[in-house]
Amino acid sequence: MNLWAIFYRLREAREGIARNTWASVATVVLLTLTLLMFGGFLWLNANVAQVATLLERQVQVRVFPLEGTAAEVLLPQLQALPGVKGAKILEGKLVYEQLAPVFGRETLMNALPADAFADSLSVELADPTQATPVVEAIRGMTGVSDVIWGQGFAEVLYRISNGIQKGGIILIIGFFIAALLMSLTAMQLAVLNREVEIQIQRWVGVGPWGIRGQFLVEAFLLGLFSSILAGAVFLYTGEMIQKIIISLVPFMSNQLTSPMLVIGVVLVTGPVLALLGGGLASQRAIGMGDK
Amino acid sequence: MGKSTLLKLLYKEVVADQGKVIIGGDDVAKIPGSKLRRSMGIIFQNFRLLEKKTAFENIAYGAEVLAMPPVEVRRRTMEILELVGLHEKAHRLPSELSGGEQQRVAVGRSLINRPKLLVADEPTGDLDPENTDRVLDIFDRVYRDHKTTIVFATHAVDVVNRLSRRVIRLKDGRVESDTMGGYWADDKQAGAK
Repeated sequence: MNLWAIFYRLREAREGIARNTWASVATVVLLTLTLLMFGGFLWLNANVAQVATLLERQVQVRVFPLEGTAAEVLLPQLQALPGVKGAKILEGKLVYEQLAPVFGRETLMNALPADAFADSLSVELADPTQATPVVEAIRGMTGVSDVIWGQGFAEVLYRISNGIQKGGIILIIGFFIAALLMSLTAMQLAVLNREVEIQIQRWVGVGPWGIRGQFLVEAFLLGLFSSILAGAVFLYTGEMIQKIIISLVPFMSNQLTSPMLVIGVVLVTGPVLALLGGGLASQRAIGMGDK
Repeated sequence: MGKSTLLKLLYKEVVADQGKVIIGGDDVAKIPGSKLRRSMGIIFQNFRLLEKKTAFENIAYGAEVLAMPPVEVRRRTMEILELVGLHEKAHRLPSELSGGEQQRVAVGRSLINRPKLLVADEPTGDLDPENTDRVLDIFDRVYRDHKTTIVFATHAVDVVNRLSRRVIRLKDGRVESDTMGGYWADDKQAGAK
């Protein structure tokens, strides 16, 4: 395809869009909405995945030794336990130091003696979803007084995040198909509107791909325009939503996926979807062969 | 097989399931349809013009879709508008032209790529005698000036006689006669014998 072919195709596509103004506007609006929902779920899904990763790092088990049992004695046993990634000793006085700025050192000293907190152990699990059997094994160890871990909290959060991730993927696939069908319908209308043009192009010797080119360029332009609109919406709202989430859940401040990633995906997805729709619509009308 | 089907075989709208179609020594079956049609011009009874394009744009369209540079498209289109006698109505839409003028635009469109072969299926079928004469004059000029072969299908005997060229008569899908000089030439020759 030479430069003039591109020039003529672009001109024809522009005229085609202008000729069917309302159909083109409807396509762009629906494609933009679909891309917004697609991008929104993509962003949500990516962030839920981040939360899940964060939770994996946060699920830690605290082990309290029996009085008279040194934490150093339990440490190698815990480290050797199957399902345990690592273990370390948390000194009681360190806990005291951590609480001091929160309650005020003077208040804390009046309420608790400096040795109020015994040494404990923090255990990191290899697989946080398999916490229960590991915790049961630790509880059965000699010299262990108590084991604390956020069982209910962690398991519920895992279930929710897994549900959102799985549901999100299904929804993303659904939106993808909806956008494809929308683009297919719009391009089928464009093909129907240009029956005579298609016929004339055939008569003068334009090949099937040449004829299809006009519709592909038109579909690409509609897809690109929709993507730019959806991308602009994400650009302006993404940062705002990010700020709201951080104000509600401060520990997520460094964990959120940037909306720029979603904008990039949306910018590519729109034209690709539209091209697929345009390709399918023109293939049905024009055929692939050059008999 | 009728005359329109025969023409469709020439421009490969229909592919022969038996026999061969040879154009300029080449077997049509072995040439891709688009390549074959690039050396042809095709004209129909119903003009099939683009309603939202002017006469100029309709003629130019055939060259533009083959990606010819705009300067060349313009030069050729002006030349053809002159040939078909529509240079003064170049910027009129088909709806602003008479039936005869519309057919002349269609003829112009078929000539834009300088075809070696012009295939015309009942091109004067919807025209009055005056416009028929004008279209036939254009064909005559194209044949004389550019040595373009014109295959002209019609059932109008007066048109055939006006052209007075090689005439192939078809009857029930078979060649009934192949003569020079007009529709009745064969009968005259038979009578002379």
